[in-house]
Amino acid sequence: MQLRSMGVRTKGKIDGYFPKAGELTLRAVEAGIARVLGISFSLPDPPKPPLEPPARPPYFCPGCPHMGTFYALKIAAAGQKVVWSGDIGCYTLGVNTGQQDLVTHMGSSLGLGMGIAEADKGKLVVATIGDSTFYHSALPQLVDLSASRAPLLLVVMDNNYTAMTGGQPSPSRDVPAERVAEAFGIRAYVTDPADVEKSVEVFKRAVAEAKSGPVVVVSKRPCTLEALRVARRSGFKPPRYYVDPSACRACGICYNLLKCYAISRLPDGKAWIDPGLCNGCSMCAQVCPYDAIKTNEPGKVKEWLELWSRA
Amino acid sequence: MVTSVVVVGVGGQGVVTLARWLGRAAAAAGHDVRIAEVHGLSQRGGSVDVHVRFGERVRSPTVPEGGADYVIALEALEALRAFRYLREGSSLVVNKRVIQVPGKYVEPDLVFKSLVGKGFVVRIVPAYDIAVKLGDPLYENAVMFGYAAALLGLAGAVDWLDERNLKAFREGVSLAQRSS
Repeated sequence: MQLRSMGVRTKGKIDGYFPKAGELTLRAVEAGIARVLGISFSLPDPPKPPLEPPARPPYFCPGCPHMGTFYALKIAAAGQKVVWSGDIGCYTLGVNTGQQDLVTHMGSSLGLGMGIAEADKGKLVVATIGDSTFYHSALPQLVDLSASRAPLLLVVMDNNYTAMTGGQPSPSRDVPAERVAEAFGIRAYVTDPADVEKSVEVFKRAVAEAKSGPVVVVSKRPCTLEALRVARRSGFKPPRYYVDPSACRACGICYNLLKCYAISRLPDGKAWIDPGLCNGCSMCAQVCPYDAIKTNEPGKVKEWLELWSRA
Repeated sequence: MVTSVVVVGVGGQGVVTLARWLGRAAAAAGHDVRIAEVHGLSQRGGSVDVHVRFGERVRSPTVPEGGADYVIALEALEALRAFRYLREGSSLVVNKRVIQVPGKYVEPDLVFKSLVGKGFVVRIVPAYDIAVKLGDPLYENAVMFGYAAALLGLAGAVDWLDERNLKAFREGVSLAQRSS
């Protein structure tokens, strides 16, 4: 545009020589240049796959603590009209279970969530934010929350790392989020997402209290990838889980509600766990109503979750 | 002459690492090397592809559709997705592994059968099984590296590889030698 205003003749996206959106692939650039130069030029079509592979959108890593937090929240808020006010981080992948209705910018979960909670009292607002984003971008809104007493549930999904960008450190152990909330006069609870029953209970209480004012729940468990690094360094092999096909009744709770990447739905509706992907978090075994998900090394589970929680 | 390789797989399998290893081996063998990481969310189970080009003089790092001499796939559904890079006579080296997409189960046998007989040289490598035998699926990329390096004539220049990966690498090399 600037060049054109200077009188330089240009040809480009505006004239349709190159695509206006999407990736500038070699194919698109070559075709565009050929058209500009008036050269007849055609590339053969690339080979088509003999079988169309299913799209592979990103998922939570197997065993991700956020998976457990979203599961427990879903159960605890069942039957309510919920607005899931999301934020920027790994947990934005909560969109896969329909638990991120809006995501605009870092810290927006609380800011926008408060506005919605004030404007629409008929809905339960659940704002979800990671620990790094909480410290980086939500503290001013927390002051506002303390003053406005907006009725909402703020969930700090504390995995002790800035996981999405590669595991940079977070101040969550030096400045625990629950103490920050309490310092602002907001009631805070702490739970461990790998303890599904306890988490559901904590969130149920928090959901009830959020009707009359702000509540914070800090859901704490370090990033799975960091825990695996610790395990590898110390020579510890995490336990793995498997589905007993004779006990599985194809209810789909594990692969539909937990949506763990390691769990597939077989053609008969039963679940199957890829042993090469399972990280032994035990959450699927806890949500299975038929005790069909088991581990070969039950004695190792507690040790693993302990080691993990210190990562 | 430039050799164009596309390495594909699922985030977390070590796709980027495998491509870097290939690049390092090519450089150690005296080639000019360029690598383009066209990866997406490499730690989150998404599709990942990395382009590696080596030869006497490499001017551009990316491989066009229909322009790969070799596609090295750490996972079979990603091998299907990478078909667009192949051209007549090029080689497709596939790890015998399917990482399912939740809710979209595809029968593994069907996938592997579909790859064969389409005008490409297809080699199915049990890298995952070997890695599991070696003690950790983590080593599947090192097995595939050994297999690919042997095919590409780069297997002699990997003294920088650590001991456990080297073990897996050697399994891949010997598998390639036995099958050629």
